[in-house]
Amino acid sequence: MRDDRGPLKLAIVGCGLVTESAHLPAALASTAVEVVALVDPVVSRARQLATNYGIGPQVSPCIDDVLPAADAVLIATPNHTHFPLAKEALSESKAVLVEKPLANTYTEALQLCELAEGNKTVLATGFVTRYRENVVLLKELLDSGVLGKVCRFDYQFGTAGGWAPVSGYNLQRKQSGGGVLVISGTHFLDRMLHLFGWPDQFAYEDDSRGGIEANCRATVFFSNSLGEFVGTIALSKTTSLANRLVITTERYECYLPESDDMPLTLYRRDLPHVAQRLSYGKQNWGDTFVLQLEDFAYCQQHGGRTKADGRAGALCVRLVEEFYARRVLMPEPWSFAMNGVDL
Amino acid sequence: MKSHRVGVFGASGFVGAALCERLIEGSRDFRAYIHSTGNCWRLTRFARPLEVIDICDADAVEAAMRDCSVVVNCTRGDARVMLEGLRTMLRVARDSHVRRFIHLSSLAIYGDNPAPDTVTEEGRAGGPWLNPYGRLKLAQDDLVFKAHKAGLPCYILCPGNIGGPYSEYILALAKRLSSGPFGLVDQGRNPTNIVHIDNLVQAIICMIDSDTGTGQRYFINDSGPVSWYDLCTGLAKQINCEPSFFEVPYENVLAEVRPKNSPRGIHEHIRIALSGEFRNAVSVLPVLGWANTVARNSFDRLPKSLQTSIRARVQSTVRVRKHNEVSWGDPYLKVQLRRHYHSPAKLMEKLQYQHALEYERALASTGKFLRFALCKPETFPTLCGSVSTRASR
Repeated sequence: MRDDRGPLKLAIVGCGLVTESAHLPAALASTAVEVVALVDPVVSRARQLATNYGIGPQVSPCIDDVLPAADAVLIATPNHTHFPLAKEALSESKAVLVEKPLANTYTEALQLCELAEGNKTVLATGFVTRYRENVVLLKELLDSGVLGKVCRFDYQFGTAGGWAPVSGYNLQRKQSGGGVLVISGTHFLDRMLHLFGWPDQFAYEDDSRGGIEANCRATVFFSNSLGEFVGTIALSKTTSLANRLVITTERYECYLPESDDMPLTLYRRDLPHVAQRLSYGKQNWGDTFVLQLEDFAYCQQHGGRTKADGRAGALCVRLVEEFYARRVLMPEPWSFAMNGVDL
Repeated sequence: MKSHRVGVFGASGFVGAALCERLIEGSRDFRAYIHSTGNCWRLTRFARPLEVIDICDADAVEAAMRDCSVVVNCTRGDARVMLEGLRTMLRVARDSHVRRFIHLSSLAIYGDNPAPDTVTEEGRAGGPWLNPYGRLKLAQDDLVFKAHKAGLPCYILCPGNIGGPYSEYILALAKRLSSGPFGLVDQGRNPTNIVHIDNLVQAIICMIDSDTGTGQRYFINDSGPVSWYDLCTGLAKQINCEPSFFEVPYENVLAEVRPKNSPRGIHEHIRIALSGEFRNAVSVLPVLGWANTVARNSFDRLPKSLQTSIRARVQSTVRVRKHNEVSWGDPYLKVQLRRHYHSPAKLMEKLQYQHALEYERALASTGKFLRFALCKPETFPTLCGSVSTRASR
């Protein structure tokens, strides 16, 4: 992308695992942004990251110090800090890209949206999977009507364990805002809202026993221009699941793997043994984190809305809140411990 | 029920988490120690404190064991952690006057092809059939026995593979059964030695509460021998699939685990040293890169016939696998080599252990979990009456 104004001057706040493994490499790979600052309460960590990547940005424990030199801020910190940090940056009219979830409550998320809109700056949510080629393609096909009406969908994502954030924020609901639904599930909830719209009905259950849930299940119902259909969602942090979305439409079964690189696969329902693997035919779609940053930088410099803007982030927070508000305890009929035992 | 403060080390693992759930539901006094927060999800749902600890750090272990009268070691890790970490734990436990140390060992200490005398705990562990994991577990057992002799009362509990809810081993087996033919060795007659997690946890609780029989190894297993054929057909029924099987010759699988007499010979070492991959890798170091270039140039100056002859001597045989050839090294085949059931009779006799679940109930519990883990439709909530408010952007 060529621009007379030069690259967007970006401060990255939070130097944990996702910054180290994804955001910083993406920022360095992109010509649309220039990393001018790294912020982390553990300054040595920020400094080490700068050394590892051979860069010399400003390093600080505090966002205040770096805002004057930055056009934009990328926030990748524990979930409960997203709101105050984003609010501070937006108040200074900086463009802000916040890792998901946008905030831990809908009220906070709306405040951020209003602040960004009032200041005419960009607020984006880090729903990076929106930038996958297979997701963009599926959305286009669904909207075009070539797949026919949607009949149902089934989404599963589960791993036995997961990554361990440097801060350990994932252990407490106050910090994380929730369990597997927030930490793994919000990426899909956002995609679901993007693909199908807001659900008309839902039922939700999880296995929280006072702490944050490790497993959850939801059934959702939609009635809109895409059809009248039910979807099921299974998320787990204890068990490996199939890690894919299957959408059954009038004409096709659409298989969308939970992966950046694997293609969207369609099976015609009247020819189910023939797989059609689809792509846009470009040689290299590109890294999704780079695409996300470039979309963010472009919108800040030229106007427009990012693929997953603040409103999309807020809507997802609202759906999470509604799920939790109507939560039912998940039965565990296999459990000897839960079903009463006298030790 | 007796009141001990129990320290569960490795609490976020499969066994540790199941034990903690039982201790929580039984309102027992315990502390959960974990290595990493990435794998502790079964415990975070209870909103109980968890402490991250490195078991190789003596000061941290000492602080953790300070108030514990019983320590259960469910930790795993690489060889350093398994040996150095255990050594640290045992030393600190003894110095802290821990009253009981319960260590989780494994039937792997008898090797991939256990001798007939291993049907009881008095059989000889070790031997030429040990795999690397078995060798490590046996080295751990030796450390525990030494600690016992030095004054720390210890139990060693020896399960085979572990099944039941949250067992990735059983889940993978169920997926195999539902996705195509499954290989059975000896027509599936051999015993599985897979213990249900709730029976294993019951055995640990039995040891927590026991005052006798320390300094010994105990098998833990389900209530009677269950053949591979019976387990597979039983699991398949639980998940409503029709399993199909094919026969796998015992000798072919045995050949995979047979101890190799000698490590790779000198010819093999030369072959590796001359390979392009090896030379490219070591050439990253400038001095070796220079040596490689010199050697390469010298080789190129040799007569063509001599070059061809050397190449022919160091080239290895290319083996083309048959289409759909069974891999005899498949872990689900190797484990079927075991022809003996390792009975928990000693545990029952000496520590009055009783199974939490008899086989049929254990299978039913596993089946319920598998239907959940395989996302069968009946495991999703129903929509009755839940109405969402329409959102507007």
